Amino acid sequence: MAKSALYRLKSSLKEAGAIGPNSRASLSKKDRKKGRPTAASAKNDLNKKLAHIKEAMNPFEMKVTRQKYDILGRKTKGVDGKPTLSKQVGEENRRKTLLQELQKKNKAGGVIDKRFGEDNPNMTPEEKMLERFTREKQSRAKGGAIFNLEEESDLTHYGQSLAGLNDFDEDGLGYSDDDDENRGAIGGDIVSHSHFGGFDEATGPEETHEDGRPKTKAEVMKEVIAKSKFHKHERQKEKEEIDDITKELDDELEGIRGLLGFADQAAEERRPKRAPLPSQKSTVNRALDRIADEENERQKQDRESGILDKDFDDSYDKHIRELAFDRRAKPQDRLKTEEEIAQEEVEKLEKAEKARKRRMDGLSDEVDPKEQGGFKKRRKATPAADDLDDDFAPEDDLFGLGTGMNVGEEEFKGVKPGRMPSKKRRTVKVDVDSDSEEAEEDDEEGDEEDGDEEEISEEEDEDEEDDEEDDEEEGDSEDDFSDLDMTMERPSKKSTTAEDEEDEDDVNDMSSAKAKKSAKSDKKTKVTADAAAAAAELPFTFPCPTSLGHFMTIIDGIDMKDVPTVVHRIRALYHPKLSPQNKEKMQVFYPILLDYIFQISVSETKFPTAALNTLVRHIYAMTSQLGDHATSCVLGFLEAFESELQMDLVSGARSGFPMGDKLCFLRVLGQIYSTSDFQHQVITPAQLLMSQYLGQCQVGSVKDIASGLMLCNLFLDYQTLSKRVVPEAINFLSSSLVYLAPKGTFSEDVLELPGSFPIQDVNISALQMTTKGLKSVKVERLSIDMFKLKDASLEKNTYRVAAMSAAADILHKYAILYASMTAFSEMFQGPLGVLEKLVTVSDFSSSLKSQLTKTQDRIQKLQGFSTDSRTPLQMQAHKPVPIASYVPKFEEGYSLDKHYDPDVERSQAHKLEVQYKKEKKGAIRELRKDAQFVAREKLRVQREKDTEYNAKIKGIMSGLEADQGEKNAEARMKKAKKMKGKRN
Amino acid sequence: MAVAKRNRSETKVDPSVGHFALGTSGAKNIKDAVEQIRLLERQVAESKTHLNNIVTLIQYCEDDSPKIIHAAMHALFRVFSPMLSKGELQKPKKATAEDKKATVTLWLRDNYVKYLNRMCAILDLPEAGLQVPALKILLDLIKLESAHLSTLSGSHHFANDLYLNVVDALLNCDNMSAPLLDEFTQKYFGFYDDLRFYFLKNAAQIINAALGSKPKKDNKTPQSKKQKTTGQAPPAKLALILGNAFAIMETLKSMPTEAKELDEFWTGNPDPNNEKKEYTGESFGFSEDEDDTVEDLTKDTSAAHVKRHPLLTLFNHRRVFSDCWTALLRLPFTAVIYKKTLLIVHKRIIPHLPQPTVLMDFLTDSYNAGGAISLLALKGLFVLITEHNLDYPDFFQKLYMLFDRNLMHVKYRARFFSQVDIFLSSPLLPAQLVAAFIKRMARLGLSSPPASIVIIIPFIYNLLKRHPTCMQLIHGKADSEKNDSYDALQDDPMKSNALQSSLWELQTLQNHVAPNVATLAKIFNEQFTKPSYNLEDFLDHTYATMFQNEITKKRKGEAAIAVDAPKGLFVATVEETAEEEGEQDAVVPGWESWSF
Repeated sequence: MAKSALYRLKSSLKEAGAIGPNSRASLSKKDRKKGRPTAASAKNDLNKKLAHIKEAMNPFEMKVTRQKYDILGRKTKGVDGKPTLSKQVGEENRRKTLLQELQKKNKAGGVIDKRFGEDNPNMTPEEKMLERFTREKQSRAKGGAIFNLEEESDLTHYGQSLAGLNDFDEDGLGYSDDDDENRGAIGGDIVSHSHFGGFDEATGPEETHEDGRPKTKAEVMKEVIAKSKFHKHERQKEKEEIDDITKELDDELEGIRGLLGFADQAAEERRPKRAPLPSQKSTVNRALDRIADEENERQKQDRESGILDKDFDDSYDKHIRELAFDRRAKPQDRLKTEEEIAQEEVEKLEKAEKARKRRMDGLSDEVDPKEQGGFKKRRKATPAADDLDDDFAPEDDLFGLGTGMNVGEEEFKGVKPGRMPSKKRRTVKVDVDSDSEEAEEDDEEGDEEDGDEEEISEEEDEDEEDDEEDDEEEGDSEDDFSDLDMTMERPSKKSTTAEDEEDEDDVNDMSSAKAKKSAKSDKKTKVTADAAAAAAELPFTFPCPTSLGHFMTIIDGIDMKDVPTVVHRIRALYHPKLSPQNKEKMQVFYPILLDYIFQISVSETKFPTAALNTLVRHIYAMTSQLGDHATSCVLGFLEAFESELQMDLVSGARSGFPMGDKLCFLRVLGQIYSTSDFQHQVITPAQLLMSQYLGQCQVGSVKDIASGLMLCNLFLDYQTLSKRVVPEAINFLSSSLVYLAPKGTFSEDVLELPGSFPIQDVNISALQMTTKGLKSVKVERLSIDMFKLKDASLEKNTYRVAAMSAAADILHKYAILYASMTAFSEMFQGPLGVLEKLVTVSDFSSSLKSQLTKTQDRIQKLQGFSTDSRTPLQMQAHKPVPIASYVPKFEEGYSLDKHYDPDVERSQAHKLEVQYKKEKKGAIRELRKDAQFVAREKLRVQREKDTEYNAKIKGIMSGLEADQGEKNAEARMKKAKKMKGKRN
Repeated sequence: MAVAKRNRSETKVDPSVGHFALGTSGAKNIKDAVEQIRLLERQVAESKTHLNNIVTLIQYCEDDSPKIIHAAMHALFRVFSPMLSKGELQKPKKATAEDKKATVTLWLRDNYVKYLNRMCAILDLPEAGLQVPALKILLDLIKLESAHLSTLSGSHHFANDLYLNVVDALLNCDNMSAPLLDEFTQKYFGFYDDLRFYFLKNAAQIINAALGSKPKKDNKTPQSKKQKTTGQAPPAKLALILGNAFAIMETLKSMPTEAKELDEFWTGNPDPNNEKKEYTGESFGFSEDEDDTVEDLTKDTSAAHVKRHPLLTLFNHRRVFSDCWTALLRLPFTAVIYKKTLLIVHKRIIPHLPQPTVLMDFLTDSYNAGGAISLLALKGLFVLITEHNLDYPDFFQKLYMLFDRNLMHVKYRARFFSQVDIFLSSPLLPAQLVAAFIKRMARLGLSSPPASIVIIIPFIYNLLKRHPTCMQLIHGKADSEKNDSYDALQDDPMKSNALQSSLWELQTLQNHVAPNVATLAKIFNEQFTKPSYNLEDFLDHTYATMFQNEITKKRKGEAAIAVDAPKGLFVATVEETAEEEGEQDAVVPGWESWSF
């Protein structure tokens, strides 16, 4: 049963303590005075409680939204609300904020109350006052204590008062250790007692006078001064003693001075900074001797004159000054020991080999960054377009000339151990890429020296080194017209050094890596002697060739074996390092040299082995120097070969097989480029061309077979390391064996032949051996010179036997090369079948037969090994590919209202959108309410104004009316008086 | 009539009709002669009294100088053409000796025939400048004659008598020059339906005559009254005919495929409106043997149909085409023409044959010939098999046999492989068979140029993909047989035992010297995720293209240089110095079989 509203009110009031025995009203006056706890706070509490009860008791304040279906355990927002309350709260807030603003609107100035909490609507005046009080207290506590003189406060350290601490000595602050520094200083006790700290009242007993009375201040100070003076004196004495000892030592120095070698150093200073060129050595030596003599003379005089001491000091100071102003010695690379050099060489080779292997496997050229040592080095490997230093092959530390130079330098030292490396040489060596400035400097020095050299050129001795003959001769010739042509001189002067280095470079090249040092030097002398002999007739300067014809005129009349020397000199004269134009010249020269190789490999009656051997080294060096340009040149050559071959194949006039020159060129390519690469800019097309030669050219003569055999051999050479399969070569070798065999060995039917190598429709009769006299034909080697012979002269069994023997031999080598291939037996089935048939031919000479048998045996054995060792293929060894599965995605506790958007971005965007909508709605409502409030407020103000005005007007009017009434009354009175008077 | 014809052919070769008095042919003489020709021509045109000039003009045609011949033949053309259109050369109905007019006409006709013969002989001259105008004149005369005959008969008529001679001259032409061939094939033969029709008809007739035996089909056609020379012509002549006929036939690309396309006629359209008119086939010619008019070839096939002019029915065209080719194929072929024929057979011959199976024997023989011929025959045979229901036993075995040692090296391999791709595309083929093909290809790949390897690798990939059973060729069980069970010499793919083998050849090819081949061969090591390779992308490689590709490839970085500096080209340096001291020189290792 619900109680009545009144009952409920009463009970709740009682609960709150507003009525009943515990209520404030029930307390006696006495109790109240005693200060029972129900003071202000209790009253506050009570107010709150009362307000609460007021709210709770009012049913009109509540608004309940009835729900259609009540769901247990679900809390829904906004079921019951207090609209009036919330409205009131809003109203209140607006009054505090919006109304304030409204009132301040269009008003300037005024006093802004900055008192704490003045503008805060949420604080009661009591709270405000309390807060203000605490603040005041706090501020006083913070700042006030510093200047508070009255209050006693102890300084503490680690909780102990510092007041009692007055003896620093006892504490031992660590000064006792540094005796030297403290020496002569005022004692600690003095400081502690008589300095700033010492004016304490609590002076110790030692401060007392001898008499027993305490010392006066003046006395103390006097004592201090005396003490400090004493210490000063002590110090001075000590210093004098040290000076005496030093002087003594200085005196004795003269005796041992000679041993220390100061004089030599001084003389050294007077020497030229730059070491003399070898050719100037004698002169310079003489000059040095003279300088040394002078020095000795001077010293002798000095000693005699007796003022040695002073002078010596003088010279010493001078020396020091000179040292100070002397150019700083540049840090120089430590000279490497032999082991280090060897180690470096090994590392270099290993690195190159590693790079080669990577390329062979078809991986990128770059070594992995770990090995490369980071970003910097790679940057170096790929120079920018504007990099001036990229004239040099970037890899020159690996393969190029740069290495050669270094090695040459070191070797130079090895040969002449007694001599210091000259400065110029060192600069050249250390900063290979040094800027032009320094080079100019060197030049200037060189010029000066030249002057010197001229002066004393008559006195030149014969004690020069053998290997400097070139230089000397050049120097001589330069001397003749050095006045006339200075510009000529400079580059040539430099070139001598370059050439010098080149010389050694080549020497280094020629010697194999394993060759011993002694062997090297032996060879060196030999070669230089040879060069010297050549130099006897050869001029030293040549124009740089601009065409093959030009080059031919240059070397016109020069013996073939000297041509490499000429090339060498041209290369030295126009070394790209010497001038930027030289690079272009060398670029022109490069194809000329290749052309020249073509020419001599054909034109000479005997194949110029020696000349080519040297030339190919030059080409190698130039290729690494010229880089990309060399590649384009070589590719140009290859393209020309290819188009020529196409024409030959179409016209059918010639077989198309390459002859000596092209073979020689292809051989050169194999020597200068890395043939083992998986893919190579030059070698790959070259190999394609070679296989086309082998695959498509029609064999027409023994010469063609020889050419093909050479190509096979070239392929063999190219593939020594990478062992890649060249079907064309095996085909060619097998088919040429068939072609060369005597008539009747193989049946005419192509299908009867063993294996699957193709057989061309060729005129076999020109190739087949004739059985007549075949037995007596000796097996010879094929000669590269046979390409120059006429076809008719090759129609002999000798050549055919030679070709067959060579084919068998090369086939044998191929078999060894491919022994590890899984399809080895299939590959060599054909050749083996052919060989088996050939072995049975009775007409062959015994040597040929034995060779064929040997080849057959070996291949058979290899085939046996191969078939034994191979297993069925397991090419698909990788994991099986998983089948894609499409299982539906189940959602736990799925709800329709919820968004299960798998796209995160979209769902977030959606969320934001919803939020935005909600906020917008709320903001609009708020703004509307604000506007209503403002309107209401304005209306209220207006009404207030109106009532005020009305009241005012009313007051005025009532006043006026009263006045008028009075006036009227007076007038009436007067009238009545008048009337009365009249009447009277 | 036959006698007359023989007479005419006699006159054609009659050497007695020799040179007039114009033996010398100096520049002045030529000019005079040309003047003279013009004069004579004018005189003939002016009055009939100068008709005798024609004889002189004909004699001028026999001259040595091309210019004179040129002038004379044109002059005669201008003389004869009006006569022809006026019907003055029409054979009189009643030839009586006393009728003077008839005598003149006969005389004129004789001369006209002489002129025609001379013109045909001119076609044989080595002078292209005369051949072309002569051909033009002849064909113009045919036009005129046909027009005249058509007006006479009231229906379409073709002067095939004359055309037969022309065709004969063309086929037997010793000096078939390119301009003549082009002129005839492009402007006439390939363009006009009637000229083509009659050419094919005549050529078949001529070839059969030359071969000395009648083809079976001829018994359908009414027996020609013309006496055929029995006995085979000498081989040289056959070769000549073959060359010329093939040269002309080869150019034929405009064979109609629908009747609608028959709309270009040199001698005027045989009016379709007149089709109801019974075609009599009556001779309106002006010589007794002028009976070679159009035979009604449609008689048996379209009897129920409304009669159409035979020139307007596609079937007739096809029929003559077929006849011509069957005749041509009977000639002794040279290798070049054989290959060329096989190259065009599927596109230009088979579609136009009314009965393509006539080529069956030819193609089968070619297929069995071996070598390149077989490869080429494959395409034609394929068309017959697929479109015309030819049943070919042991097809796959024969196909397997075609994979011989030279296959990978011939020019036609791309074409061959694109067809083999079709043949082997069925997933229903037995795995044993497919494995045999795969193994055979791989085996051949070991001795192939890179361009061919590049074809077979994707091919094998596709086959493996299509026949998963064959996957054991590249991924077998580790413990299975070690030795290669494949029998390369076995001709029957089903007995070659290939399925138990492994493709070591492909593994070896992964080490091929050409980088792209090696890379391509590595696809077998990867997962078979690609559906299949399009073989077309791999067919057109050659050494040249691969080389160009390498040359023009964008170069990145510099070419890698050899690790070691060269020690010597062929003779090592160390040895070289030794050589200087007089010791034996030694060759660089690997070059022991050479001396330098």
